[in-house]
Amino acid sequence: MGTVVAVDDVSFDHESKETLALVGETGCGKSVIASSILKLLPDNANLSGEILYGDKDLLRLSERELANIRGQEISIIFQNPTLALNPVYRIGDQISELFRVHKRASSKESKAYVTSLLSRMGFKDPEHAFHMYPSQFSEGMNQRVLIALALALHPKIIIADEPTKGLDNQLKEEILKELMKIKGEKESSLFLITHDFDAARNIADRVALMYCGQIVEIALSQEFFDEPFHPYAWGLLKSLPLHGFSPIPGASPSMISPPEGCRFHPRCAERLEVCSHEIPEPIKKSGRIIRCFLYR
Amino acid sequence: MRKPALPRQNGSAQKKSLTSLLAVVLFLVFFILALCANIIAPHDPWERFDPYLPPSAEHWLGTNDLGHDILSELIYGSRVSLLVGLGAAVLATAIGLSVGLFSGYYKGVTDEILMGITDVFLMIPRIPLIILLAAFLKPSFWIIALVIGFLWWTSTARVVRSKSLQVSEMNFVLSSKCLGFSDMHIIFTDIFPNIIQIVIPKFMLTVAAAMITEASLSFLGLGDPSMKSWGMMINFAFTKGGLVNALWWWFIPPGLCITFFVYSVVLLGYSHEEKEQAALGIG
Amino acid sequence: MKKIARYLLALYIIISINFFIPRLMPGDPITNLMGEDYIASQDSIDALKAELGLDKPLLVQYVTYWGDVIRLDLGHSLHFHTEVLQIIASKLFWTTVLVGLSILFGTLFGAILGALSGWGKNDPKNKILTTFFLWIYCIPPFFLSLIVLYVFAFKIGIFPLRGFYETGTFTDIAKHFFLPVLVLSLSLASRNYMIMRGSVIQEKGKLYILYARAKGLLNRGILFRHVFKNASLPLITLVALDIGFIISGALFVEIVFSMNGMGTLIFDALLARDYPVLQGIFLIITIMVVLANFLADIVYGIIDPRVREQR
Repeated sequence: MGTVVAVDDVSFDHESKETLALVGETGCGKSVIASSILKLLPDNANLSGEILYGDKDLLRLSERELANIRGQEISIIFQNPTLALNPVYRIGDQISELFRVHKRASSKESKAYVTSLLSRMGFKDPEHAFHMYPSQFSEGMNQRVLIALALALHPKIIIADEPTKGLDNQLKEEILKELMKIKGEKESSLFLITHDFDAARNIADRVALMYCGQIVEIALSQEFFDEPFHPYAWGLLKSLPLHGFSPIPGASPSMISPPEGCRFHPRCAERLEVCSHEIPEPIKKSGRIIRCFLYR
Repeated sequence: MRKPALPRQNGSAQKKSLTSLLAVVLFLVFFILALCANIIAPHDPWERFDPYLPPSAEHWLGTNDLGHDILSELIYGSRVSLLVGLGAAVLATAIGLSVGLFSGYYKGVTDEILMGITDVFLMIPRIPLIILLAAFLKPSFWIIALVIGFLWWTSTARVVRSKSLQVSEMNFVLSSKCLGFSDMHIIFTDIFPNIIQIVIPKFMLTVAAAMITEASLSFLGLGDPSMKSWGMMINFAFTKGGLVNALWWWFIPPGLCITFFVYSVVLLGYSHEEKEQAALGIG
Repeated sequence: MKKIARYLLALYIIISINFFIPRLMPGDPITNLMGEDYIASQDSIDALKAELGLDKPLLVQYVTYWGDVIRLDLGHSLHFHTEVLQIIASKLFWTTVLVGLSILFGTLFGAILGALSGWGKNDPKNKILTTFFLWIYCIPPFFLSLIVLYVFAFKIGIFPLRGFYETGTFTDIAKHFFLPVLVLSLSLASRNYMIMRGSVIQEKGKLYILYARAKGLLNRGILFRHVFKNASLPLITLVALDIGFIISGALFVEIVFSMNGMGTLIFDALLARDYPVLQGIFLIITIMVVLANFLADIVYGIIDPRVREQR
């Protein structure tokens, strides 16, 4: 047991209306970033740095100001849709809660909003769906409800934390289609966190790759998947079934005591001498951000 | 964004271990009193001195209406509380464990029947029943412990059952079955060890409940007349004018003893539960 | 439907137990059925035996017993010189008042304070409150009654010493009920506090709470809109299950405060070993407990949709 440094020295920009995908293995710290943007980490977490949203630093805002932003300007979609919903309240009530809290809408007004939202999300009988409980819906349907909740107030940023995790392939496709629709409407920017590279490739404008708590490469999506710079990315693409299924040697490092120097160096075929005792800083190169000594 | 850290250990953990220390010490005090009553008590509790004496150097808590030294009565009273408390709890836990284990492991018809029985027992008004039974019989504290034990197993059974259901679905149990081990073997070697952690706080709370029940019964005059229990002391105080004559040393000390003893037991139960929860990361 | 059957079955079994108890106890069977106040000469004994049905086979006695129960004929009390049902009924009202008021206050205060305690940080205020209720939880209700009676009625004298009204005016009754209701409510509140607190602490860690925060709800909003409903579910079950405990607590409180309820009735009946009355009380309380559990079951079903699914 010890202190886990889940995210170390991470810095990135997210342009308005763009879709940014944060990819990496399970456990590399991606979800922590997602939760920390809205300061939804548990009480025993320590955050330092700044999160600039427009001209505000989210880390310095009061709880009340943050509550105003949450759900309304920045919304989030969690991984476990059924668990994210309160089992003893109806779906409709949980969505209309958003309107009642942020827009002071009456229950009648909110009901109208909710039914139109539900039908937009593909529920054939929104009136009926309104009265259902989360336990009566499938995982996929509940995920749609979360997406509806994320869209409802036309937020500037939608954070999707592994929205397709644990869903079967057909559902994955449907959810991704929904996300594409959102992107297409050009209303909000999407911050997609995923370990699914295909999804990232299809949806994202830009991709940020994470390894062991650090961001190692940020590039335009097309460029990244055509020709990644970072050795970890090479290894990942090579390990896909498409490209031969050859895994990266070694195992993911412990987050409590990560390797000295570049965190990927023990598993890197191209490592240099300097990689084992110095941490590479992120630098700009060819329109990308890359954290690797090979590019000095 | 940097370094999320684990919970600050020092402050609250120390507080918590301080309270559990208090609980253990308190419990031990009463335990030792009960064990060594004949050594610790200044007098034989049945020996007659002058009655109605107020507290003095000779009799720290004075004497009752029959001239018995109250302090000695008090010390010997711990025996009844301890014996009935532990005895009843052991019986209740044994029954509850068995019912819960079998119910959760075998499921199906066994589960239905056992749970049906549990439901009936849950609805029996316990104290009225004990009062009724005690009215007919001439209860010794064994019978009281027995009856309490037979009526207090239900909540343990429920808790054990749900955990047992959970555990019997796990893979290592399935593999034991595939290896051909007998059911009883599986229940005792695979399931039982996983259940102990939940049973301990339940056991403690049952001890507490049994102590309070015994005291309440004795207060009604249904206790074992051959033993001095704290409840009976309060009964005498109540029925022999201790209240109206402001003889607080007749009833306040025994009442406080019941409270402190129960408190130590409850705290032991809760602190164990908290330790478990902390280890699992809840709470 | 299955649920009603379960309750009826439980009722059936417990009432049957009531039948067997006097007949299985050691001692003279007639005394066991009539109470220790009974005295009769040798000739009337046989007549009595016939009347009590002791000469008939067990099955017949059993059926007769059930016939009596259904007609609410609970026998005759030699000690009190009236029908058992009558004397119980006359006391039942006051006990119900005590129990009702105490459940109201005890559950309300205990549940709300417990929820706030479980939800909030572990600051000194919280710790003191929790320790306070923990102590109350450990004090037997009869002893708490004694202390309160001693301090407030005897020493300070604000409240009357004997617990039953003299003039029958509302203020008079209120004065006499104040301390008993206070004690019983405190006792209940302590249990409810512990349970609610534990329940809220458990719910606190669940995902839907974090998600409610992500939707933009503030602490107060989350606590009362989301947590409370979920956390009160185990409370409802436990209050219902505890009805037996609550009624028993009420009995002791009544005895100490000399109230005119079933508590003092039991105390007197015990002294006189009036078995019919004791059995009658057991029967009535059983019916009350089963009824309360049944009602709680219904309420639980209304609140928790997951339970409704299973029907």
